[in-house]
Amino acid sequence: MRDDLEQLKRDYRRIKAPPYLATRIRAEVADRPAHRRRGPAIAAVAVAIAVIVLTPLVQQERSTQTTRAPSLTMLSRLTPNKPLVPAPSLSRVRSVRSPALPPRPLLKPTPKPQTYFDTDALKETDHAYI
Amino acid sequence: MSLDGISDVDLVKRFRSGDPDAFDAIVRRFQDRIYRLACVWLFDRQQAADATQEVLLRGFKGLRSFRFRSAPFTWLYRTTRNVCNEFNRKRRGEPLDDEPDDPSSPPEQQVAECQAARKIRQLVSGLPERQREVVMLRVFEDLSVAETARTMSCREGTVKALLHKATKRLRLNLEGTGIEQ
Repeated sequence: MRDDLEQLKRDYRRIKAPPYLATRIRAEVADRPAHRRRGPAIAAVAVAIAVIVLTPLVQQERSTQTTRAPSLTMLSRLTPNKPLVPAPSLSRVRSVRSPALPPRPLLKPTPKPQTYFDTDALKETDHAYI
Repeated sequence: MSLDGISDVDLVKRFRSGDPDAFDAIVRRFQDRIYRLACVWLFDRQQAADATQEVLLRGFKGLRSFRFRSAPFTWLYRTTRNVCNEFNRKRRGEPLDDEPDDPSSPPEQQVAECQAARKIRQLVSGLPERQREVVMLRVFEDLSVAETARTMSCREGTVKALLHKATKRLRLNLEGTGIEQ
């Protein structure tokens, strides 16, 4: 069995690829670029650098253009500006007379007819005065 | 320095670094081994040549990003197996053709090669897939147990066990039905 296997191994080793194969592969490969083109890689790196450099500048410019809402702490520290014209004193304010109110309108008797019950004529019953 | 004398790993490194002659050297070094495997797995020499070309073209693309986690031949072997499986799926049902078709090599040599490939195919076809792989790598490709284990992504003990079982079966095949020399 060992001899048979050895013979088979020898026969197997004698198998060679046809000579035209290497030429065919070379021709196929010649149409393809040997290595990855570096153009796109360089462009990608340039774009990345541009983004990294420009982003802080753009943000800085934006921050100068737009006013930020003041924080509550800052607002609490602000002192209100007093008006230049002095405010009138309370005594002076009291002395100012307010205009008189208009006279109260007098109510006139309404022409509506009224019914008067003669309570003396009413008879007391168990229930009520009807 | 000649590229034929350097190791497989260094050769692939040279190819990756852009050496224009490195791929030619890779083709020269591996084409026969790939072609022999393809001859056994496929059923005619033309298909084996096409498969070898496909494997090496995939190598041209794939070895650029090779990370050296395995040997270059391991990568090529797995690619060969995948390509041959694809070819076999496509070719299912078509007649076998083992006729000599290469005018550049003498017909006697082609016939001898066809017979050798056929004998080996006949011998290993009765084996389960893993045992067949072990026989092809360890016996016919002469890889060490460690290299075979790396190529098959298994432990060395598994390779030894598979080889032991395969040898027993081969013995039966050779003595029983017999392969005529």
